[in-house]
Amino acid sequence: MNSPTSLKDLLSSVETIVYIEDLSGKKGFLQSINPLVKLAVTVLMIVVSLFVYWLPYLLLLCAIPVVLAIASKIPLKGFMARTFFMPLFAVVISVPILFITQGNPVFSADLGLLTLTITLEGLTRFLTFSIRVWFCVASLTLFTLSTGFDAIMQLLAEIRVPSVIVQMFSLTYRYLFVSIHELQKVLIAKEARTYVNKRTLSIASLKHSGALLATLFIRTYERSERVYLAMKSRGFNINNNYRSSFPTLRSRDILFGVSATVAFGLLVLL
Amino acid sequence: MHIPDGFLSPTVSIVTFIVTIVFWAISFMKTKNSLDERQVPIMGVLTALFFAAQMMNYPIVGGTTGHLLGGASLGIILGPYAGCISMTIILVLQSLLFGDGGITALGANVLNMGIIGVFIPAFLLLALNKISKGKDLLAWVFISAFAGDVAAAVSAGAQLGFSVPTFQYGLSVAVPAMAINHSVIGVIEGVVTMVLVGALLKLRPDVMSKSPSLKDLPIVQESNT
Repeated sequence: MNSPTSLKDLLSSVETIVYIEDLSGKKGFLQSINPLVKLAVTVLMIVVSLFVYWLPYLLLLCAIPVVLAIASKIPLKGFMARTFFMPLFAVVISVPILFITQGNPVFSADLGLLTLTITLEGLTRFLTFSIRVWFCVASLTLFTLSTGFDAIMQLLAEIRVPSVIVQMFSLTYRYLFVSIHELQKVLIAKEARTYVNKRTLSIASLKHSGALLATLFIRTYERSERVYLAMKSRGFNINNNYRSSFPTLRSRDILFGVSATVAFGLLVLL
Repeated sequence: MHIPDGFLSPTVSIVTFIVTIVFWAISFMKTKNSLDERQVPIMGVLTALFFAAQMMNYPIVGGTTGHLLGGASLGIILGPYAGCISMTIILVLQSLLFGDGGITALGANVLNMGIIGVFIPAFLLLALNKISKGKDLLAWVFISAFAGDVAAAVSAGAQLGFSVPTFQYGLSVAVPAMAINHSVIGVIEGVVTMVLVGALLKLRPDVMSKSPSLKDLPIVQESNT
């Protein structure tokens, strides 16, 4: 039996989270860098790429996430697989650009009723956009894979996100696994009791999903009361300070941050 | 609707971040007093539920799928300010854990799905409910959720359209494309939100006591007394 998309999606999301936590614990280059510096460099990399329109420079930029992934002991196969989907979407939506951009023709196909012509300018725009999106996705993925959730929470506290909000982030993350498990149980129970020949969208199926969500909502609401009491009995304090455990800046972090800023600054100036 | 990094121009990213920061500040100020030690676990656990619910995909056409955005449900049930905070948490986690939406596009994504997609359904339902004096409530829930979804999509389309040449297509292409696509998803959002709100009003009307759109309904007020 083919499992429904939702069940597959739920399982793959849990796999993703476990994969992130697993890699962020490795002793690699990026894992040893202060998360604040890493975030600043990631944003810098993404912003710089928005100003680069020359294809060879952009391709040169793409080597950076790959080198950093290798230095951080992140398996390249898994890294590429994780960064592949979004650029694929960018490729699909930018295909018409190949044909509608005016310029020097590089390829032409006569289809009888119409002639499709790919221009050099169209090809350049298409490649620039797709490669830039891959670079941006790869940079952010690298940050997440090398940081891990607990360090991200410490980072949020360090950049002065109110502690109430950091606590909510933390609780959402922790209870995400419980919610996914609960949702999985309901979906498997539904699958076991129903025969579906072909999955199509219908008002009845949407109403069913709404009812399912309502059931889960009520269960979750009732659980949240118990969660609060259990947390309280274990010494829960809303003002728990994540900042106290944030790593201090070392010379290695400063060196990495400064060298990345200089390198990307030069790239933009050039 | 999750805009990845590399799609928006720096100007659009900065402007959307500024608008979003203003709404974050307003939402935090408005919810600060109610976000106590008891309320934080409740909101955290409910946010996790909506996060998981967004992973449920519905088949649309030609093998494509759509999923619940959850903004309308959160805005109507928790109220727009708490809903904005919940959606922000979901969007940040989606961006970092699953690469669904970019970090430089976070301002735009929160503006679309966490502000427009939350505030419009919440306030539209409030207005429609007042005009109709509580009649045809579930129809208004559907309309509010649908309108919120389409408005968020139009906003995303406008941001992409204003990002030329970083993005490939101008306003004349990006806005209609997003609006048409999300009209279908808006119907899904509308029906699911309508059934969810209807079921909660029937089974646990007390959970609606935080909802500015529904807290004045007699059934909700009675459940709290």
